[in-house]
Amino acid sequence: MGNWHTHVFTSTYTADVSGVCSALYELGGMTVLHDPSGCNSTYTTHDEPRWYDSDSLMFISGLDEMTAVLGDDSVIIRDVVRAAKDLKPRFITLCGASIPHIIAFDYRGVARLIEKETGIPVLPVATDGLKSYVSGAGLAMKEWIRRFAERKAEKIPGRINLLGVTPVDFSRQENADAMKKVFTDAGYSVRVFAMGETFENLQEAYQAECNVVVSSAGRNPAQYMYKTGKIPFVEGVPCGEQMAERILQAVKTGTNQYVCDDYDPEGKILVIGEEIFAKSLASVLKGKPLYPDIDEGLDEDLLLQEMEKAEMIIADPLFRYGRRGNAVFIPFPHEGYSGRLFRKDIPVFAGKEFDIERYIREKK
Amino acid sequence: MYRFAVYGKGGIGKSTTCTALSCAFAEKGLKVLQVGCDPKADSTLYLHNGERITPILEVLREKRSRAQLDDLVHEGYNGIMCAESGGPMPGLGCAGRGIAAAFEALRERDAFEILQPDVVIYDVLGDVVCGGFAMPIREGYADHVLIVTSGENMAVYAAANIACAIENFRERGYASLAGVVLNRRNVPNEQEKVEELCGEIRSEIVCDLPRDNRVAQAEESRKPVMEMFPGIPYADEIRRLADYMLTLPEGEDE
Repeated sequence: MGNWHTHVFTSTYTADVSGVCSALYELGGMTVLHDPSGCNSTYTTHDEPRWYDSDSLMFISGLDEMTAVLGDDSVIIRDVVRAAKDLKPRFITLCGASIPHIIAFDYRGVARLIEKETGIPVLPVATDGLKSYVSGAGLAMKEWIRRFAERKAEKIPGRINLLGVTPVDFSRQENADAMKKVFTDAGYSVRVFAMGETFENLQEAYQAECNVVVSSAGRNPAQYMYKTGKIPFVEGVPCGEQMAERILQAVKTGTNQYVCDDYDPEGKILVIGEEIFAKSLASVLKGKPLYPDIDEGLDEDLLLQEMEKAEMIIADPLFRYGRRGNAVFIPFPHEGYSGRLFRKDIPVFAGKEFDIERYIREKK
Repeated sequence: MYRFAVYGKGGIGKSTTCTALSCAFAEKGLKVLQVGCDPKADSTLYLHNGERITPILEVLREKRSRAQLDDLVHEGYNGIMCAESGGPMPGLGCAGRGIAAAFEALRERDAFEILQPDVVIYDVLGDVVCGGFAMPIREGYADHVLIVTSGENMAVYAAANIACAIENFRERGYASLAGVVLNRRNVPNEQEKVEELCGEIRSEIVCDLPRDNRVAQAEESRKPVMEMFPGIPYADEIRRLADYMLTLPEGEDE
């Protein structure tokens, strides 16, 4: 990544704070985004398909200039304590955007003070609003596991966790269910972090004999659990029968495996998207994955060059505007990139039933 | 892992004290990491023959996320590992945010896990003026704070302010005050003034460093005083302080 990073023809992925909110949405907590405002509406109106169907306690602190300049933490402490006493959430998560980051807001210290006053566990998740959702979701999952998962739980044979499952990457509950089915059909019991799963079930995360990392947001918690619980991880999205079988085989090895790393770096089919998804699909198609702007970034001019060389591009519809040359464009919407714009067109792409060749034929 | 932050008024001798302490710990065979937290980036100067190491923020500006831990931490005299946060040019940017960013860069690269220092010393600029300068005493960094002062009024005022900040942050799980280092300037009633300060901040003098021109002489020669004059009373007092610091509870990296 250069010292500058521009987007002329392409969009950007959603920010880390949306990742935090999305990862913890269903777990009965209260998420407080420390920010003047703005970041919350991006999340609620664009990145969260569950917003109108199920409740979750998402708050913005309404940080103002003088409070920030004076470092007056008493304002957010007072407001969160008051809200928590009314709403009695199971836990509180404190994250924030760029202004608290710039003034080196003390997430841990403030979390400790709120926890002391309310008696409710507070998770400090020091996001900065500058990174992508991958970072935020990963930090939030890791912090939740660190705080709530029973680390000394005994391993249960045949238990696995799916890590990195949020609507930002998978949008529809059907995708989460289809991934789960791949493993339950093979005799495993599965915990999904965190769509359609309960707080109590996820507390059992350390019972797993393997973590399957289905998006790059799952890497941070997977590495943490590997370090703290010696649980190996396997990276890959079971998008179709071939990938599902390869992941199932990899899980059996009991070691860390990256099953989607055999793509063709010179492939003419370009798959653009979240890293593990793009690599998984590219592996099946013998294509080339590109994962621009997820934390590390990829300069747009390099991205456009790659798009020009490709014969086929599979990507979110917003990438269509970066297409050069005569490549066939296959739209594959991604909530983390285009938000709700193409939500209705997001397919069920997880599970053995998904057939990318058929999808391509239908979308051509 | 023993983790200390050293605060005090600008020019009071924090870097000299930190450098001498690092040498004293290294003499004991301990693995030491000294982190300078000042835009001037001169804390570890005499551990590198007076040569400036590249500050973390300068490396990050050039290499961004490609910067490796080796780019940020440099080995100096007697194997002492050195890092300097660095910061913006005077009058520009945000020095406090800079320190926070440098700390985050070390943490993101698992610096403490990989380097596994026995002792970490944070040498912090003048006063706790904003959130960034409080980073070294936040949870996960230093566990104990030493304040360096002389009997000069401005040094005593600064020391009182620092102690006040530490006290205010107590409930947040920050580091606690482990004592006052009296770095003598031989002003009138020096001992009494610093003892009075200690009474007010409920602490005590844990080290009494004599005024000795050989300290400046070593710096002129671009050497740590502990290397150049290892047998002088100043060096003995530093060793005594190091022994005391090793009696304090160790912290645990997460």
